[in-house]
Amino acid sequence: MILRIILLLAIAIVAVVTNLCTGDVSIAPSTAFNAVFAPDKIPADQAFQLEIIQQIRLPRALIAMVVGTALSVAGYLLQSLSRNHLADPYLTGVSSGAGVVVAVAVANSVSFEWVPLLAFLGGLLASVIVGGLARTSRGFSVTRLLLAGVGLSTICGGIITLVVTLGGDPVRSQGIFFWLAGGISGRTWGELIPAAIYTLIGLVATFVLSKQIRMLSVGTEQARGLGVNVDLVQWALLFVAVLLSGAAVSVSGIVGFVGLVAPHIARNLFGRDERAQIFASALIGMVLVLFSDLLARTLVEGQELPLSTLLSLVGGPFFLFLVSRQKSESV
Amino acid sequence: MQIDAPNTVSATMQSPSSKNKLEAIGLKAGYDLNAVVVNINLSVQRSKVTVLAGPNGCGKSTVIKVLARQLKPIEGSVQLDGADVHSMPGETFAKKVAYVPQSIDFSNELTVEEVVRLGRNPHQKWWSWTESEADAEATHAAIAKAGLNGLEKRPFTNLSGGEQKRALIATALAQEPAFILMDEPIAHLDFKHQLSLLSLIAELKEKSIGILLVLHDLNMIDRIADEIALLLPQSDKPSEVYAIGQKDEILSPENIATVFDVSVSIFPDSSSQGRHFSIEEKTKANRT
Repeated sequence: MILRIILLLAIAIVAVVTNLCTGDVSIAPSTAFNAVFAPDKIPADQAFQLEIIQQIRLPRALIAMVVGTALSVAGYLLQSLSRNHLADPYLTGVSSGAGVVVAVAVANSVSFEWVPLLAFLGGLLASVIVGGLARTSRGFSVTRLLLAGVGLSTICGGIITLVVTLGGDPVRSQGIFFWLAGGISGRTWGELIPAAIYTLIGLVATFVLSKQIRMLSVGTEQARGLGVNVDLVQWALLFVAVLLSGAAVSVSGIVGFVGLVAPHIARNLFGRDERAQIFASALIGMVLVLFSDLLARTLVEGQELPLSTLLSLVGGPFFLFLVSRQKSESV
Repeated sequence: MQIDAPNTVSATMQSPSSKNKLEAIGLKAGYDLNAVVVNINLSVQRSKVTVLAGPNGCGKSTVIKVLARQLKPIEGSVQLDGADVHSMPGETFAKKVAYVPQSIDFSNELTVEEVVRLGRNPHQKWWSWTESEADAEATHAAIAKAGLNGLEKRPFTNLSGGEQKRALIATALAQEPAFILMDEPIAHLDFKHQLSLLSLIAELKEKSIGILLVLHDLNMIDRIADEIALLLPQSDKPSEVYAIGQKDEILSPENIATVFDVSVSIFPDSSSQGRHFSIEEKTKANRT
């Protein structure tokens, strides 16, 4: 198990270094290292590279890490909550709910410090609606959860289009549109810090709740019999998942499938230890977003593809693969 | 002398009659306010085996769920040593009362040992993964008692239905409870394991644990029960307790015929020094 974690860490480090060094301007790993940890050592003739790392690539890589962590841990939580591996922030409508509120906020020039909080509130509202529809007297129904999520996402998509179309100012409307298309280009420290704080809080809360996640995995009836306050734990998991999704949506717009793919791989690697699964979900999510972002900005020369496009091209088929592997007809 | 005492006596001043008991008082219970059972008065006492029996759909599982703090009653209450069960914290209840549900709904890859260890949850802090020596001892003792030695490292979901049931009973034992409630514990067990479960129950009873079972098989009930409550379903109305009391007064051919809608003959059983219940369909019996 330790070996697998070390291997994952190594892959994550490679992903970060590659991300910092690759681009229109190639930068040597040693220069990148010094630019991050010892900027004084950078000679004056490399001030340009220093500038690129400090102002563009480092914040962007960190945002990719935050988004990857937040989405995959949120997906892990939603999967644990619904006890089904097909749940993630995108499919359950949490991302769309957050997206609507953020679109309205951006259209009205709300200051960026408020965006993660607003995204959180939007996600919370969406999750309360979807969760309320999914809940039956016998507990959470996954079919209802996913159907309600798809329905709500459609409604949110419509509202976002309305906001964009009726926004008046075409420049701002286009801004909202590109932002919601999912991507992290042009994001800097100002957007990173609040999202990182929310993600860190969510990550710590997830570790604190890890034993309760195991307790819930034996079924709600059995868990309640073992003294677990099932309703409270379910709401806590949903709350943390929404906090993390909100943090991700606030910086990257709506990015799908990271929350689906990363926890799935993590569960396969660390089948019986929830803490390792959470840690691995975060690392795999980081790696996925770092590599996708790298491809997004290098694949087509002189042009940047939206991050969500690449993730959809990878994540969509993966989702279909999961559906084909479901044992029974019911989800 | 306590007759004039106000109703607010604290738990420590409870009259002895409410001690060492898990009691249902005037229960009305069901789902979404539709009552399935009404007027249920029932007590589970330590060192006794109480059996809840009745035909399909009469609400046995509903009653055991309310007693197990899984389901809130519509009216009435469940009291543990005189304290209301549905207003106490889950861990407090789970330290005293263990519940083995009828169906299993696992979504993990835990081993038998890890599943049984979950029984220690009410004795641990909710966020902590650390295991005390007492936790480890109780887990191993429970595994041994349920006859699961050698299966500790096997994934729970790879076990047979009967082995899974025994692992859940081991989890209940790891809770070190004063009462164990089991919903159809022998349903998936083969004959050998049915009998070994009966002797395990007898052993638990010796250790002054109170046991409530939902059981179907009359001969099994006859072997193990001290007290029996028979639930009678009624058309268009919630079920009620038809008869409750000591085994010998309750297991009469008349009671069985009324509650289960069958005819029953009782034969002496020379091999076990007991008796054997043989049931037949009522209409067929009437015809012959």
